[in-house]
Amino acid sequence: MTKLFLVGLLIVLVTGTNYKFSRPEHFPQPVYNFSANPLSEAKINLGRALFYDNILSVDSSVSCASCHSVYNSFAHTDHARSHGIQDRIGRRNAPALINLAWQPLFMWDGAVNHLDVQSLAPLTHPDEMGNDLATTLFRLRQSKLYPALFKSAFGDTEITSERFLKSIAQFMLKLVSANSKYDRVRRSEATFSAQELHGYALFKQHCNTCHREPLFSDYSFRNNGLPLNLDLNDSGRVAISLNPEDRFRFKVPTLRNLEYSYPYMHDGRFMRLSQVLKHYAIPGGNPGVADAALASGIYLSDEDKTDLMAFLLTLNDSSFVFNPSFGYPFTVFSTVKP
Amino acid sequence: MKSKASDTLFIAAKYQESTNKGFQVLKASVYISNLTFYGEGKIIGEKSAPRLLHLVDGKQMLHTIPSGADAFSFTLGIDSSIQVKGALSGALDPVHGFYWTWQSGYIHAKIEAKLQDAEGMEKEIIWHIGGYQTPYNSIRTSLLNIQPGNANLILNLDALFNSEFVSKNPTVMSPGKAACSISYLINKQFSIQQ
Repeated sequence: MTKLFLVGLLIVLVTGTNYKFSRPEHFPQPVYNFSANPLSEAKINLGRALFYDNILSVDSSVSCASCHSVYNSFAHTDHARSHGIQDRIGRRNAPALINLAWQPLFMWDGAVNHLDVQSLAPLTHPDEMGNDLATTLFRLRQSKLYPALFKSAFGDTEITSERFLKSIAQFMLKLVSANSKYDRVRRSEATFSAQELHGYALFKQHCNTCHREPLFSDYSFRNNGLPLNLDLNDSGRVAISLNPEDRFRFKVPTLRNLEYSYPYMHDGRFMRLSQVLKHYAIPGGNPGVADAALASGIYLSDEDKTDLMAFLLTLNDSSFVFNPSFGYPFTVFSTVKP
Repeated sequence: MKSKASDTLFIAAKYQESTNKGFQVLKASVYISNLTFYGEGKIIGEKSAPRLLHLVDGKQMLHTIPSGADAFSFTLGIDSSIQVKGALSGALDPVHGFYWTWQSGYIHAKIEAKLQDAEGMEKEIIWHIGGYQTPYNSIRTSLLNIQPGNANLILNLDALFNSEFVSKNPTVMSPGKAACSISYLINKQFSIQQ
């Protein structure tokens, strides 16, 4: 017992204090396996530095945060689709990085099966960071900053893919957004106005099948009836699953922080929430083409739309987007960077 | 007769660059995992961890053959249970270039070659064979018998390139039907030489 305690103490001394991931009471159990990547302050700190460092892109021009900005709930609002090295524009809208511990598959088409390996996709994509893993690790080993950060995170200065990827994942796991007005109502710390309450009822009637509470997504892949953009010709999930039924299906995004994370849809075609509501509120429905949940149609009066919008705005978590521990790590970069 | 404890299982690829002008094998790399030895139908020892073997580098030691072994099985590729574990190290480190970044999954085998077809036309073969999800699971398993003494697990690339399927599918670099067929063809070309 004493031996175990001493070993535990040694691990804590070497790799810094553990970070306690706390599940918000009204959230389900996360799907991420924390036992294979136990969180620590030092690893999150390292992951945060990596997330904000341009060194990850081949020409050192962009970082993860370039397309995933804290103020936009870690999405990107300047462009409909992600903006990479040399002003290249990708095929899809950078999604909000929140509550990722609950998400089973990543990317709009579910191409990535684990949060740890998610970063490999933007790191190596020619329209995003255009880098490769070996070059990235080489740069990190040569840098003045990272050997020390890896040492404080892992006990020695060795920089490996596994450590690199798991550290970025740790920072992303910390990005839990559960302090919106909706959450405060759930915790009985606030109450909805009559308008929000009516909007909530409409939400439960029309939206909750796919944008399921409390994460506001069921993380399934669905065809919401958007006409195909012929320039992009993006057929969605089918490219990964090769199942013809998945043609034009994309992952249901969370509605949390939606006011901060415009534009909307996988290709960012809608700048405003009103356009999104207009897309869905088709009295006749989208029979045949779109998801069965939309087949019978949604009817919303103008007043309904206003009330639904009022509810949707209660999903904004301003304490999340202004959380200083999620932002640019000035302290880390200013102390060691040349 | 049973094999001695000191016997060794080697792995190598067989191909004759000289017989076909312009023929060149650029890459022949495979993941071999779950290597398991049997003696009289019973498992001897434990399953091996995945190894990434670059067969263009020549004959390599795969494993010591345990005493009493008369057969062994192995998996070509990486088990689905490992494919969903996230970032891994050693043979499974994505830095080796055998992990797709655009879609999660290990590349079970990479075979790249230049060859000439019957009409003398040069052909480039690029196969990055992977996929672990049904119905396009391209992980394959073989069971082969061995006699006492050292044994060589030979991948016959000459026979593989003679297959009609090759000329029809020279570049396959994503999971799917073609990858499944090619992984069967590759697996069929493993044999034992002693």
